[in-house]
Amino acid sequence: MKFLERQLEDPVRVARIKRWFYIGLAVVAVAEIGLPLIVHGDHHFSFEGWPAFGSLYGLASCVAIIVVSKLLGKVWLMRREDYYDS
Amino acid sequence: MTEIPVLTAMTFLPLVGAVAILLFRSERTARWIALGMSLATLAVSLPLYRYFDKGSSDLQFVEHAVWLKDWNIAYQMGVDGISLPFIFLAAVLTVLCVSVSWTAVRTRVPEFYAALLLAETAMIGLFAAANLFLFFIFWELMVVPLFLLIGVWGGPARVHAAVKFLLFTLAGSVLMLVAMITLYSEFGTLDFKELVGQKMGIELQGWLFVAFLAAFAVKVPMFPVHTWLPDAHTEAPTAGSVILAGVLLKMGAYGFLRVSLPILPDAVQMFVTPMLVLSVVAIVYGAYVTLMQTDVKRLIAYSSVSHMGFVTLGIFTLNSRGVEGAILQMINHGIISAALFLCVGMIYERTHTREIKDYGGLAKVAPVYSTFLALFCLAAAGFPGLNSFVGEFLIIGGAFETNTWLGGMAVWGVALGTTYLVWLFYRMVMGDVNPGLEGLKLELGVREIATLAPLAFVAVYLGVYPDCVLSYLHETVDALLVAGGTAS
Amino acid sequence: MTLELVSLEWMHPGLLLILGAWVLPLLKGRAKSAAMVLLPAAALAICVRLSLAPDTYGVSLLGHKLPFVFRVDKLSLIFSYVFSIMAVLGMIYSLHVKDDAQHVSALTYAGGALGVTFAGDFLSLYVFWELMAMSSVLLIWLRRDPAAVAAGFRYLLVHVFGGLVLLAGIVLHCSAKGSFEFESLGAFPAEDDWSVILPWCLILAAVMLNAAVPPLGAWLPDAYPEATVTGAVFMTAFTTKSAVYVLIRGFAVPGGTELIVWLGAAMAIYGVVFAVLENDARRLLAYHIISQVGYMVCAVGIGSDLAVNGASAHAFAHILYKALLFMGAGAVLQVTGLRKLNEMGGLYKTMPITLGLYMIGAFAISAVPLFSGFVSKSMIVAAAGEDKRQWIFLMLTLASAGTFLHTGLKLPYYMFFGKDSGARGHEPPRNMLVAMGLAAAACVLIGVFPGVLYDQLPRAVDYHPYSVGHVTASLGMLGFTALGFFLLLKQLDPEPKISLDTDWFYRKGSSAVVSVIRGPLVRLESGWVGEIYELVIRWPVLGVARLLRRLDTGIVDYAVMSVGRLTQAFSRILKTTVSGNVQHYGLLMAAGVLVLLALATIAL
Repeated sequence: MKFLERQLEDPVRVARIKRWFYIGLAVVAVAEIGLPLIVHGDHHFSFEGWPAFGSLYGLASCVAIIVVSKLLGKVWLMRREDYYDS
Repeated sequence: MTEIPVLTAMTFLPLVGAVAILLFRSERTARWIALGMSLATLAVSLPLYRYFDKGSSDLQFVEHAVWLKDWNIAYQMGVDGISLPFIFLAAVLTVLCVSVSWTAVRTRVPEFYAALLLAETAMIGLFAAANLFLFFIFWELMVVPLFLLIGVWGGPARVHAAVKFLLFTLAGSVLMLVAMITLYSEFGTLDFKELVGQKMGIELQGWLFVAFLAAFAVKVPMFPVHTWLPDAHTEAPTAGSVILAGVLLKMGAYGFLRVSLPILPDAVQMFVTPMLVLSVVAIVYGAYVTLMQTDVKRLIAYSSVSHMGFVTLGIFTLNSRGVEGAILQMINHGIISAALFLCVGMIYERTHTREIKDYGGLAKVAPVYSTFLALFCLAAAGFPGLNSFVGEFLIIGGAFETNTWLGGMAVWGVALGTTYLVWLFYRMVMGDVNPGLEGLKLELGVREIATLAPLAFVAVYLGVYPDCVLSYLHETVDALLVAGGTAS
Repeated sequence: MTLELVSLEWMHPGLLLILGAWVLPLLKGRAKSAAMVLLPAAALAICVRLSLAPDTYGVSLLGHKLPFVFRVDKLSLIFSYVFSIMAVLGMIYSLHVKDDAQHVSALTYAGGALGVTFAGDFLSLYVFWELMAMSSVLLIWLRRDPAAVAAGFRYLLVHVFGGLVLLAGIVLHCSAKGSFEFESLGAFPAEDDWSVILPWCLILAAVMLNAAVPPLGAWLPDAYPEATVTGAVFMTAFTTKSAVYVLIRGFAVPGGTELIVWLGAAMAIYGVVFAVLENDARRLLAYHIISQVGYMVCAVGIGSDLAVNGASAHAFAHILYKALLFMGAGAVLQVTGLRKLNEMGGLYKTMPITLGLYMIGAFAISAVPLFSGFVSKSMIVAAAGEDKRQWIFLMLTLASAGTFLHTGLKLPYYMFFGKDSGARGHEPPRNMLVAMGLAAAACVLIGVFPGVLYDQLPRAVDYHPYSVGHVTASLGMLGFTALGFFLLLKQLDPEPKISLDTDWFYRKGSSAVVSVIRGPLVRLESGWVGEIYELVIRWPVLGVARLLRRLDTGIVDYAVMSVGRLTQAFSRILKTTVSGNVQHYGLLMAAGVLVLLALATIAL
């Protein structure tokens, strides 16, 4: 309880967490590009073999989902909470 | 020829009771005589089920007495697989009617019970009749006590409703009388069995069919001659509604099965399509109109129009599944409608309002009642495991056999039926307790639970073991369809 | 072989729960709690015992042979295991609830699901299907809140409708085939014969409704957030997954069915897209159910052995981690009373254990390596790959990213971390934590030892999830999704609004239907049809009666009266003769004699 609080309330600690996060991301990206060159897995599709496909697709998906959904919501689907109450 | 005239006893015991009540003219004895006589009638009927031969399609327990010798009309009673369940239904429902009216009827009590017992005589007589003459007599006889029940002990608009009921029914039965006379003059006999084999020209058959249709269609009731029903059911006292919905409506459909299908087979084939269409219209139209009712009794009354539409649909599919389903469904509807009207009557006795908006939250103040109501609403909606499911399943199967659209419409009718019943239940039982109900003691008493419990039991029993009724039907329905030239 | 339905050696596990549930109201205290957990545990034990003798059994009751068939094989067994386990976990989670009706409903619901799973014929399938709908609606209604009552009503209507579509399909199918056997319906019928195509479509539509496939699935996000805290946990498991079971059994064919594949993939994305817009925590999770079930539906459409295995495995894993997620969100709801994300935040300080267990569920659903989702979801994606379906593969992977985004990032961030809303909670009752802990343990166990699950799969397994490429790709995808989340954090702030779904049609549409019925139809009935009586019968009859009455008083009566009046007049005249005057009498007598003499003369 207190442990988490200490970690997250302290801006210095939060910055440190963020730094470790970015480092982790970098490691994963490198591993993704590098490891398949060493250990050959079988791919179903050609694009699976592109370097860091997983990471890039993940980022792209995330952004796409957020953008498209928000757009749909703003333009069409979002209503007041009491929309159905007649 | 049986040694003990069970059917005659069943038919006339209630009449004896009615006479006794009128002689004694005391409120208390009237109730007890009525109860005693109706229970006795039920008891006397027990040998019928025990000794019935399910393998035969002939009339059984036949009683024959020479009556109008010169006119070749005998006093003949008998039951077969189709009439037997209805006799049981009539006997049971009368007992329940006596019970539910115990405290509800306060004016002219002896006359009320006399009329009730007279109605029982007419009902059982009709189903046991083995020739058209007796059939017609009991058909007409039925109108009198019901007219009185509605007109004297009914609700605010009772006279209008009673007169409407009377005029509709008589208009139909006049034509039936004409048809009966025509048949007699053509063939010299009115015995059902003898009439079945007779050769008739298609034109004659057609006219006779229409004449009988007038009488039966009004009773069922089919669209568009159904408008007497909501008024009659709503204005009648609880016992009257139970008899009306439980048995009277079935008499019309029974007429189709006993008279039109076997005796006028070619005409039936000719009229099959319009009858099916009218049935479907009754199912769907009836259900939609039910949806919008604000009066509980009226809602249940209109739902009867829809349910009887299922029955006529099943009958006119002219295959064994449809017809067996229709007969089973008539029994089921008799039980469930009776149960629903009993429920409504019991709560009405306390609140004196039939408007749905005056109810709400019954689950909190009357849990036993709500449970019964839930069970009966589920049963009426055709929930599997309860009685109506099997009947509806058979009818839908039979309907699909004839035409896919019919089956689809039937299914749609079930959907609508479930909707209005669930909605009714939701408005009456769920939610907050309606302030208008404050301070009323709404929960059921012992006598009332004793009235509803047998119906609940039968609803579950028939749902799980429908064969107990269906087993009586197989032979007779097969014979019927063979006679009608449409054996499947 | 025939099994006696209720006997000492054996009992249908579903019936055990349905009938056994009624024991609960009769017990108190410790005994009741013990029974609550023991009943589903006993059901699980029966299922395990059944696995020793897989067969298709007939069923009889008290010697009468019933038309039901009881089928035990690997497919029905794996689903029965997870349903029973879920029932145990759910009952542990509900131990603190004092409302017996909820317990009875929940056990009936679970029993119904078991019934569906073991059904070898369409009749018993239908009966248990309807039973599930009826009992689950109670889990919504028992929250006793006006919104819940209304939502439950809509839920019931939708499911009744679906049930009837199923019934119609069953009747048509069984009439055509001549038997009630529940066998595979195969691919979309090749013959251009409506009597075969129609039942196929109807049954598929009904099953898809229960599986919440859009556009038929709007009932799920409408109803699930309105259920009770413990009821919702049950609901996530049974309706949709039993529908998935029926889909696998009835529609998974080796060649695949295009329609189902694309519907499933679209469904997976649909759930994820809608979840972005959600403010209610449990509704967001409900949309994720749609998304995950989309994977399973897609797999059914692909139809290969790997796909069917994937669908089963994913169903198994999904039930457990989804229950865990709902348990977590339910715990927050129970303790703080909050359900909207914009009102929560900062709860990590006071509910860290809940947070931790929730996160395990979140990692499981996101297919993080070492958790259950990783070994199950990837089977389906791999099946798409093996089938050379690029777009499906990409769509499913996209949906995976979205899943992690919402369940693993957005929800915990706004619920537990984020801007501190000032809400303070405490850890939920111990039984809830125990249930969550057990579910979490299962999620990890399956992830670390996938063989335990793989052994139960219906088809032969030749799949290895932990390959280097796969692990790194997954980690990469997850990590960079998280990056995207933090970059676009501001965009994701939840707003107190609702989003429209296909239930708009029957919610707004129903008032249109009602006004049609209330207006024209009622006018027709009371106006025209009712008035026909007035016109055709009453008016003429009474009119004739009135005419005759006038005839009666006017003519007949008049005639009679006239005779009377004449008589009266005559007698008045006669009266004058009796005046008492002797002269008059004399005159009269003389006149009379003269008349008589005249007459006599004439006659002679």
